[in-house]
Amino acid sequence: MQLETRTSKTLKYAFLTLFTLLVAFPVYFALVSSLKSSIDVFLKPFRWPQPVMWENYPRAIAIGNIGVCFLNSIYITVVTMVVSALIGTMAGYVLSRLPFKGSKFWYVIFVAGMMIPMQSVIIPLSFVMGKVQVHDSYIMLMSLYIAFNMPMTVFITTNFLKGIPKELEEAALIDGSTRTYLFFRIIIPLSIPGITTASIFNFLGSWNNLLFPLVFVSKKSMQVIAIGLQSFFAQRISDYGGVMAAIIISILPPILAYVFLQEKVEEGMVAGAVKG
Amino acid sequence: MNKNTGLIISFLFPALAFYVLMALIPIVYSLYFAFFDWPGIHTVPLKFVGFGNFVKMFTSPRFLLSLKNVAWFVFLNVVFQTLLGYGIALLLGTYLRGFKQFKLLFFLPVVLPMTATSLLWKFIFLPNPTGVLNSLLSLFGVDAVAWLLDAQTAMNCIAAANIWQGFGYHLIIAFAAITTVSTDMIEAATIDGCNRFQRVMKIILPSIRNAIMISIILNVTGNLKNFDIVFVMTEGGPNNLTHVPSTLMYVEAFKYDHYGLGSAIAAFIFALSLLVTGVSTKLLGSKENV
Repeated sequence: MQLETRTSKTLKYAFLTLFTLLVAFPVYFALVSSLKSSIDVFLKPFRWPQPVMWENYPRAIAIGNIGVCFLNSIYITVVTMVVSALIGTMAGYVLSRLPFKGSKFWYVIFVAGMMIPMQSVIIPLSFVMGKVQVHDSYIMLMSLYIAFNMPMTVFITTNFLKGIPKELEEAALIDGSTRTYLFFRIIIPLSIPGITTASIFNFLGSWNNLLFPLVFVSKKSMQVIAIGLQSFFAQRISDYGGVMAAIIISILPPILAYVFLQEKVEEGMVAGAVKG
Repeated sequence: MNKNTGLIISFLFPALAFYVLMALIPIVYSLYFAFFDWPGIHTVPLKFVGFGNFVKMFTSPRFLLSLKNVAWFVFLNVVFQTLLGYGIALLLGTYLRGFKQFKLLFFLPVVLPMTATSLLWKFIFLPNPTGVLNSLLSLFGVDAVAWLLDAQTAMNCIAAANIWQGFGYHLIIAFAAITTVSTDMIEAATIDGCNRFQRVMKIILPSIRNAIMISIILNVTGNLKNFDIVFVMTEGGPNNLTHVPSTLMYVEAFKYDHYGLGSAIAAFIFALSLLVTGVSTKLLGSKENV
């Protein structure tokens, strides 16, 4: 073992600490500003809030429409996540366990979808939606999310399922269980780690998405959190405390997910990198 | 005939239905769309214009500028995210104390909604003298800078925000790669008298070359398509000088009703994304054979 000198160690930690402050500052700034009056946000940007303005939060939630947007986003995200997990795992099961003519082809078709840019589909889709006169439809929005979740979900679940021993299933099949029954009673419970990884990816994708609701949702009562933030900021440009409170509300679900499921979230986000 | 045919079809169908209907057909349709013009009114039929939209696109100064902007944006992101991600991973790598906490903090921005972080950075870059960054700079006697309102600095500000948000991703990839480097080799080198710097340059970096490549490729493909951060921070302004192709596409189609031109840009983005992925897969493949 080579010992590092004390100075180089000190330097290293000094650099890391400084860098940490730099990285943490924007989030710290949002947090303290969300509890300040709009004047204090500017006059004392670095200070701890004094007095603490809790009222920024109810104002953002009620007047800023952030409460409605938050609930809408929760609803959309949960439905999207559950449906994506279920149908993605079903496809992954077939593609990994029941080889048939063309199974490789369908797998490639799914995974190739990772290359489809979201912005390239919005013009034809809005053309078609105009033709069939569908506006402000959550079904449509959620279908879009589910469609764009499929490549990663199928990729993760297919590869995860390849790692589960076949013997488990075969034994049960001999006992006379049907494959559908097995899928729900054995395969899904065993695949929970893989499904979680994919679901985190899907959760962040739907929660953080801006483009699809921007194009396909115009009703105020149906807005999602990303749009809500945008329009709150545009309408109440001088309500700095309120906007910061709205920002904090919007980043809370991803932060909670990350803090409680750190390893899984990292795995889910970097899953695409494994493939390269 | 496979005895599981029924099951295969019924299990594969739901996923395929969503995917084909809402992603695959639209992307193919978008290429078709690029040869038509349409004013954005559903009762008006499409008008065939051949390569007209593409001619318009490549002769549009705004589009050419958006290409330049995205190239610079991608360049900054590749350089700084890779340097920060791998630099910090190497710095933290061999010392485990505080490792988890650092990693938690550095990766946190990656999971945040880009709309929120873009607004946050918009605040930090507010142009008035009381803006966060400006008031910080005034402590050192630096005059207020216009940041996002000045086309000269705007793109760099957006890139800075994006680097802040994204470098943690590459840090995680770097960590994963570094832990696979054989400790035996490092120990042997240490016994042979290699210092820390030599170990990094001669052993660790060459062993994680592929991870670095993957990081760079993901950075390029991801940021070529970046929409949110530019849209929220500047909306392409001031004077349409900070557009990237994806925001320009959105504005042309949905703001100015130039759906034809928008579609051509959309097709261009898709083609570029395919090209970059194709080239990089080739590059990675040949690297692995070495």
